[in-house]
Amino acid sequence: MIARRALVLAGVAAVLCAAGCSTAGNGRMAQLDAVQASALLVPGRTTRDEVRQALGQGTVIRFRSGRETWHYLYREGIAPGWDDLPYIGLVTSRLERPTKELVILFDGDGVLRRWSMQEYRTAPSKGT
Amino acid sequence: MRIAPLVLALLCVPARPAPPAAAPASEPAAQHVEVTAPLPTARDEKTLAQLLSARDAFERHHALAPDATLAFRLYARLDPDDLGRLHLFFVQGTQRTEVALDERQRFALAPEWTRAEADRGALLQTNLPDGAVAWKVDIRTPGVPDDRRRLGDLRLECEADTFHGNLQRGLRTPVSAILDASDELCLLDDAQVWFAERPVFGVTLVWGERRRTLPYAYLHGSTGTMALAALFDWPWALRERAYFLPLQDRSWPDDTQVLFDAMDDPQPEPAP
Repeated sequence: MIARRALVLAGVAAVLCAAGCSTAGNGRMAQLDAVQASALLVPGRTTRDEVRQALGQGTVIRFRSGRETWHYLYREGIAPGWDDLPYIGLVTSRLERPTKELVILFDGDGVLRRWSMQEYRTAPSKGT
Repeated sequence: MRIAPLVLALLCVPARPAPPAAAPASEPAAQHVEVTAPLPTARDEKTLAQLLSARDAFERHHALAPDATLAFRLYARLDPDDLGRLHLFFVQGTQRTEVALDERQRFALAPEWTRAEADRGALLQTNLPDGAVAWKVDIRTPGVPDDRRRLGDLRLECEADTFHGNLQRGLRTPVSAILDASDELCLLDDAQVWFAERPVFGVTLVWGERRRTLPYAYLHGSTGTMALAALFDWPWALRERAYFLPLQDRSWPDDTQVLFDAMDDPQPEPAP
């Protein structure tokens, strides 16, 4: 019984550790650096559709003012979806992994106003 | 939630001038009619006991911000236009006195409210319906500009509000009650939400050479769910201004500056 349970755990661990990443959008975030982002994301000019075409759909938060943010998060080490699973996600989302984050702000007309990108290792405890 | 009665005393005045003394006895006399009716909906309000409880916690933890003073602040939770019609009253029995708010809708405890014989059941009551207002403890060390806050002030706001003043909306779980009993509640990142003066796009902690720009998980309730929106202050008009702090990380001293990058600020030049 114990051996069987260990086998199951080992299998889960193997799947979790399989090469992969979790990301929002079309995966281009993995290669995106600040220089490429500066060329792609031009305040006052780049539109939502252009961003969607380039990076895929980010996670959207809409505000009452009409503005909205699109959020892209690329985390190395664990295949997509694990962070969203009940119980398992509580563990995987707290693992310290290299993380790259892009946040884009659009105005009410769908034109990009601001963007920010940062990389960090420490998993934010907020919301995880 | 109490519903204060609205008492309207109407004196019916005859349509014509009062008759001369020699008028016939059949002339009807003037009538005095008193109408009492409840307000149509509950008003957004707190008890004086809640404010005094926040004051007690403020004094217990004053070392976090030794030079700071205590105030309370009202925010429009649902509709920003509500600020233009907002009034606050101190209600004790049938007596109702307007409380002056400053330009940021703040007020302080009046000396007579803090006397030992003060009625702790008295109400601080707004003229807006229940749910329209977010109440916050507001603690500021003098001299801190609008584009930043002092971390110790914010930590003290958490101590005075969450589970003491109990002003902000939120889930009070048994676990958080236990943490509160051991004075550890404000070591949780989720314990308290704050609102910047302007819609915020980024928050950075700065202490000397040390800097940390907070991940987006700390902004705009981005990890929250609108399914529980009614239970919190941030999901509506205040969402653009909402931020959390890494309260679990005690390595940041109380004098740490919390800098705000506003949505309306220009895009910074990329670092060389």
